[in-house]
Amino acid sequence: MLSVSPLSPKQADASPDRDLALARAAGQGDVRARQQLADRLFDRVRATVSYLAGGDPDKDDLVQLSLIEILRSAGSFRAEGHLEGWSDRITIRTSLRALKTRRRRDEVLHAVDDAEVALERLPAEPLDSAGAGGSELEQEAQRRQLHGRLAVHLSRLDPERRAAVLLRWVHGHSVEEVAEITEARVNTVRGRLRRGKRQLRKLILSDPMLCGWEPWVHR
Amino acid sequence: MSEPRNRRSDCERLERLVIESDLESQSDAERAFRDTHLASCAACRSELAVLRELRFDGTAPAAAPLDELTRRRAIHDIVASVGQGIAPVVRPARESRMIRRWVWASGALAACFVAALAVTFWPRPARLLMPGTASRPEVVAGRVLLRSGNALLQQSPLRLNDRVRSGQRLESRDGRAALRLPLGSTLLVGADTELSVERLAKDRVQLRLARGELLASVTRRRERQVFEVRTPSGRITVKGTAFSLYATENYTALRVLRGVVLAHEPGKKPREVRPGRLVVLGMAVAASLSPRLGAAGQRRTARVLWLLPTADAVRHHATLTIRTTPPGASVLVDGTPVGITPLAARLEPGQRRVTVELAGYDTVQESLELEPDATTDRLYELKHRVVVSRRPARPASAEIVPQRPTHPKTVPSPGGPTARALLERAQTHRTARHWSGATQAYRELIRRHPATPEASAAWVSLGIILLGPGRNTAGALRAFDRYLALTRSGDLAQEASYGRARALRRLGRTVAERLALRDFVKRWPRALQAPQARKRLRQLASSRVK
Repeated sequence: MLSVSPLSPKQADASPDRDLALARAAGQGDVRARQQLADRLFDRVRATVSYLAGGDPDKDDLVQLSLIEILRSAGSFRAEGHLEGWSDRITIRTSLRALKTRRRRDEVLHAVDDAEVALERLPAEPLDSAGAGGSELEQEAQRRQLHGRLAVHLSRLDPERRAAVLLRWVHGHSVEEVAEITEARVNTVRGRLRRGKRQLRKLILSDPMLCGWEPWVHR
Repeated sequence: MSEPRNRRSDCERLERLVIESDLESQSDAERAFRDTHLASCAACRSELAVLRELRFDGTAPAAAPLDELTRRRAIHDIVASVGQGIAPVVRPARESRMIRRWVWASGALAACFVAALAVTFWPRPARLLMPGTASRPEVVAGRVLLRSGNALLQQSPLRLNDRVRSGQRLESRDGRAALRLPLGSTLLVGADTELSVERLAKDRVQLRLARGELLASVTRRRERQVFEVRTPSGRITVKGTAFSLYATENYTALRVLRGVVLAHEPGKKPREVRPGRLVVLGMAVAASLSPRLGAAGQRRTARVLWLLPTADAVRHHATLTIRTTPPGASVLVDGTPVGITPLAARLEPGQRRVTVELAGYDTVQESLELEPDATTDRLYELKHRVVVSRRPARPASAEIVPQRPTHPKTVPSPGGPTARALLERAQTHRTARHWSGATQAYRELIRRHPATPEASAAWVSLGIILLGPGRNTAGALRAFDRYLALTRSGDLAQEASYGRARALRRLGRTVAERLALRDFVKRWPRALQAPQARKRLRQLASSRVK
């Protein structure tokens, strides 16, 4: 069964024709179109990179690199899918390539060390499951802590698995769409998702902050 | 034995379900199975809760919080670095890409073979190139985007659109200048600054700041690209970033606005400087730093870069020149101080509000429609201000003379006290320890000019007063919360966060206080208040144990 990719708030009022016109104008060098496109995709790219790069200190560089690549490739958008899905593909490819280069240049264990250090720095108080306690600001702070920990856990996954998990559960692409974006076979993607999910599950269950977190029952 | 095995198979069934379909699009039977299983399996509950929480909702909660100004700035830099007129990169389908790769590879092999034959058998001429041209590098030049006041390039007056090349020296006296350089970089050179361009190449920018102030925004794309600024006390290399420098003979102060900067000091290990940090090279104590180093001021200054065109294009920018009699008046475009007159700048086309201010003269305001590929000239003859004692100043006026001073036109400035005037009034009351007057002035500033930087700073000042002599702790907490809701990484975020923790302590909300203090210590581990915050956290922990 094919699932429908969820629309982001900024995407909700977009139509394929308008997306195509915007991408074409951006591809032809229209500065305002580029600004509009970058503004629309900025938060999505930031979210993707923040999960993909985990505790990497140069996340801002990756965001910049990915958006530059998106703007430069805008002319190649064919409106065969959502603009957001197309941008996810470029973001994932650009970031993974940059991360691979960096890992080759630095040490292999560097990323793992970063994850350890990043996790050490984060507070590990169990989360309020009901999510109703405290002011809005406190809830927001808790949410940021939670996502910070999740990003660190995700960074421990193998890059291909990480990309698959990210596309499936952060951006809501179906297995077939993930296969198309990552240029892999559907069954390979299923395997990556299964193994990535199991690894993530182990990390979640061993994390004191996330282990007993069950807002599911409260919703 | 069979129950755990059943549960495991149920967990695997749920896993397949979660992989294949979205939670919202599951059938009734699937939903019933899911709910039954979740009721008995805590691990699956936690896991699904996390997967659901991960779903993108238009924000990036795992990334550092970003205020609107920094976000806009980052987008501006990215668009600027892409430049104009780049042909779209067309990505062919997978199969045709493979074929194309094969064709390219065969072509390249054939070309190599032909080249090898040519090199071996071609008769060599005595000299292939004229002397001196063989290894001449491609000349790369920067461009002047803004010139205000008196500035010199190679001892000659700096003009708009001047080309800046390697080996040239720029000296700004009372004015400032903005330059576009390679690596998608834009520089704003402050007043009384001496800057040498040591090397400009496509992938390398090397500058020497002998003294003065520099604000740079760099969008470096590749690892091997180098953007470097040398000062008398050290060297700064940039990763892809926005930063400001202030250099004297004795020290260099560096503040990073976005991205990461490496600071090299002679005899020391290079250190990474992160956004929001002020680092001083060449001096142990930063006690007597210039007041120009205020973070708020620098952020305001950085806004000038937004007004400049996003790419160094020949077309699609507007040129604005402003002269005044007398010269030396401050020019604000859309509320941002751009420089002093005489001023010439390349700006983004569109509707712009220009304000010209000079002490002792009436302020002039005019709304201009800046057309692309056109120059707008203005000459303002400023009028002496008539001061009427104990009465608010009349709407100011001045003669605006488009192109030539022929048809004078009076433009009134808006009535009511300005944000700055209200801020000064509040500060005067504070100095005189007149707390109710100060509170009133801050509140008026927030009410009248809610969208100004002064108003956001006023929230923090108001919170501090209400926390101290004003004694309205709940009000103080609200004020700090309002500031932090406006910006989590603003210049006064440290003050506001600590003030918030103090207010929570007074209100007896220990859980919230502990969270606030922990957040504070994590974000500003070296802050002045950090030892106090740690001490209080220990107190809270021990009282919890008892």
